[in-house]
Amino acid sequence: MEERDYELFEALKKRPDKDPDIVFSNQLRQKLEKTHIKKKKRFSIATILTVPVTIATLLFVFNIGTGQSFHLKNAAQLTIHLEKDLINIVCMFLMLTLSLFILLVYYKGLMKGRLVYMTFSLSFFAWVGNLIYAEHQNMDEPIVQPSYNETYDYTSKQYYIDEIQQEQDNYLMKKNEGGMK
Amino acid sequence: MKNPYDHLFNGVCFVFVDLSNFGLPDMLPDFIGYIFFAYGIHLLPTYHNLKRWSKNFAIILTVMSFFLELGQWLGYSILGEIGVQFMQFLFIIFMYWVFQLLLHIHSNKPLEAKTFKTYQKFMAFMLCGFVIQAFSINVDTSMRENVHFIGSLLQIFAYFLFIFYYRACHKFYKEINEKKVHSL
Repeated sequence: MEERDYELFEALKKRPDKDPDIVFSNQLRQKLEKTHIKKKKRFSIATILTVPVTIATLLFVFNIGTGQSFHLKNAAQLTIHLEKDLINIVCMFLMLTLSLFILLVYYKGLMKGRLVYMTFSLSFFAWVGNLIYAEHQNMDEPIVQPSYNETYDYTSKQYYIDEIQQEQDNYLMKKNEGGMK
Repeated sequence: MKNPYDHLFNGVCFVFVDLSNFGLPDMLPDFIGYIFFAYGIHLLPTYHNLKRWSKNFAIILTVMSFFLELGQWLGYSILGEIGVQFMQFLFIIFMYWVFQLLLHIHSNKPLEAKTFKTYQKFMAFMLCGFVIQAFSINVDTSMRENVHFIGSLLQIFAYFLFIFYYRACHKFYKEINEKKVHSL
């Protein structure tokens, strides 16, 4: 309702004459209401959700009924070298879809309601998912480079260095003594 | 009377400008920005509940970012980049509340359309930047920096949008005050 009011306000501002014209605004309002109803009918959440869910159920029934599995061995062997590229592509794809979804929501001005909270929660989950994935992957170089590494054994190294130095000192002492003689 | 928009603008500047990326100490710490936010929201002329909530949120963010900044200054970061990104996410949610409050204040006033448009673009850019930066962790090493930069660029756009909005608000506020003076 508020969005429609906003559109009406915009349309009225663009009008050449500024005097109130009840017939015009009523017509515009009716037109806007009609388009709104059409949109609602065309893109309801139920239709968007039912199609993938039906496909998934049909696939599941087919899988159980025929006893065939969906392991595509040859395809998997082919793609196993490209696994990293694929992951990258999937990452990019997810990122783009999420960004486009956010842009769509805000561009269309669907501000009040669940969609805004959905964009917040989806982006938060994307962030958490990425963190978990990065943690799981054991990346070559960590994001946070610690100044003190726990795995590095400082004490034993110091001990070795001390030992080497002592040996060197002893050698020098002997040499010196030899020279003195 | 002080201009609340000035304080909001100062807050945004302090939160956005981060010199630690250039190897300098952070001269404009985030928590001072949140203090500015809290004061600016306090000066806004309304008694809506949103005002109280967003002010409290600003105070909570002040405390959180203070500890984060303290960790950075002392040289050990417990969560590293994760803490910074989490604060960024909280900042986006905070800006959502601030814009809701501004929309409430400007309803049926000349700046309503401008506020709404800025809100639309600001939130979209900020969230997209956040998402891109979140995904940049798992992107290939050679690409990581570039992807991260794209995310930052979007957020800089959002920052400039807020600057333009602030200029409009500043003019509007001045006009109102002049009118008041004339009527007196």
